[in-house]
Amino acid sequence: MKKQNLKIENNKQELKKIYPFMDVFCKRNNVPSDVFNEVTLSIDELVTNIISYAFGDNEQHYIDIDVEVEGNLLCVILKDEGREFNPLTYPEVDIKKSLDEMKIGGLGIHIVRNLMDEIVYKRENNFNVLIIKKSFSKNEN
Amino acid sequence: MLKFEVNKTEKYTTLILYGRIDGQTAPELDILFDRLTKEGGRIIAVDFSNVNYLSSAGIGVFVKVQKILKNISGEIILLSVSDNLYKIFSVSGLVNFFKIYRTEIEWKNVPAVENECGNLMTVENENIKISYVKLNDEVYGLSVLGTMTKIENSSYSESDVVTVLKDDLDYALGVAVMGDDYREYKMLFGESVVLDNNFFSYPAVKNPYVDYMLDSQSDDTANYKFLTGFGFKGNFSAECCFQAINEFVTLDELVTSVPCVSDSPVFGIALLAESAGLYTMNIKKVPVIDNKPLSGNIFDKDKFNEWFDYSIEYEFKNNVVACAGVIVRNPTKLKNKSLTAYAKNLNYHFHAAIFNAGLLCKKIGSYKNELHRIISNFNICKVQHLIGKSRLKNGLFGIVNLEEE
Repeated sequence: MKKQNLKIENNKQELKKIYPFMDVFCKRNNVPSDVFNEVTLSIDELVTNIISYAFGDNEQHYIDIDVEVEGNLLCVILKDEGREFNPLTYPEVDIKKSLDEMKIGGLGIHIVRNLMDEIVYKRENNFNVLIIKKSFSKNEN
Repeated sequence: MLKFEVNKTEKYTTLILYGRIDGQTAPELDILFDRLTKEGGRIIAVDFSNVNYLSSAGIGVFVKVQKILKNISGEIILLSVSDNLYKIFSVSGLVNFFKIYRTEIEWKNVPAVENECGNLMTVENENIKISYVKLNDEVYGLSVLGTMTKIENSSYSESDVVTVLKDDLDYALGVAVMGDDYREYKMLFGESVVLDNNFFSYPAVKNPYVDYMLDSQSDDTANYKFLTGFGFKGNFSAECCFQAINEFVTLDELVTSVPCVSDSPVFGIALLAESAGLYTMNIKKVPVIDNKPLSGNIFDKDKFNEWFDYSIEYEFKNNVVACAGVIVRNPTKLKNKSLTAYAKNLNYHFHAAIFNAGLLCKKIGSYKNELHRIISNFNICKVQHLIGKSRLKNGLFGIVNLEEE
């Protein structure tokens, strides 16, 4: 099992650190590029939500991004000390609506739900813990 | 920083995006689309060959702009979308609202959309391009309402008021009001315009109890009261759309180009345009005998400021303006009458209802639909006399061939 950690501040400027971090990790561990793209996008959407909604104050906080590969499974654990916030309670976006009725709110989590194999939310010792998993076939490389 | 390239052709604006469209660059993309649509872009093809990342923040911008463009017969087309990005568009439900081509070849193989209007014609000079469709050669009467001469020394009285039945004019401009009792309405005369039977008026007095008047098809027996003005009713002999070649075309230049569209010596024009800065004026005292100056003319230098509000710099830079105008090919064609009181040699007179900022559809034949969309959905700011150096970007107009009655 290979594991790596990125710690970022609750500031949208920090989001741009995610892509190069994942790029290096996925190349090193032979994760196919489509899985790399989808997982990186999912982290971006979830961390954007955390930065926007998890902290009610203007203080500095940290968000931990742990990424690991075991066999053909890529697993990401996001951890923050914000208030209890479960993005999975977001109502499902109805994408069958007309263009005029289409709303943008909730689209990020909708994309994550559709791209990932599994999403789990836990509240642990005053931390929000979000785990996303995506499997891939190793033969593609 | 968002990296991009823009290429404009006759039919499309092509926008090539580079890199990441995420929470950081999405606001820049929003501003860029706003600029491209204000510059007249309606069909915008976005090339994704060099985009490696798209998040929901970026998707939000595409959805927002697509909503705006679909209202004005435009759209965003997505080109060279990789399988990765296609999946994001697909799970977001966007594939139903956008034409998406995975390769440029796929796009190029789509037959070009033919213009629905049969005999599309074009006139173009260094300032303006006008496309138009001729509909008929019918000629209608120009109604000259009231007398213009009494405005100069503010000597109108109740007997000078011309009552026009609502049904008798589709378009008109002048100093007018609506109401039944002269004692009640006489202090509410002001710059007015009638657009497809909708009356807009800006009372001349300061702090009137209405900021402007709007009457949209409320009562068919209603009528307008004019002190002076022009009006017309009739089918459009031509429907046109225009586009400034550079950033803008002035009203003067537009007026000079319009006679290319028709042979008539006198035209009525119903115009909808996006502004790039307007010079306007409005009378601010009612020119009735009660306000008559002791001597001289209200257009005299020493009285002008007391009688008129006028622009001293360009105002209304991205507004929708709806105008009624009269153009005379040769000024002497009007029998002993000027078209405006303040500049007697001018061969045109336009009044404008100025609405808030927005975009117009540029499809020929959609003038009336667009006018009604604007009247129902936009807020009106002012009704003004439009001055020739006013700058317009693009728009639609209909021409009615006129002759003096």
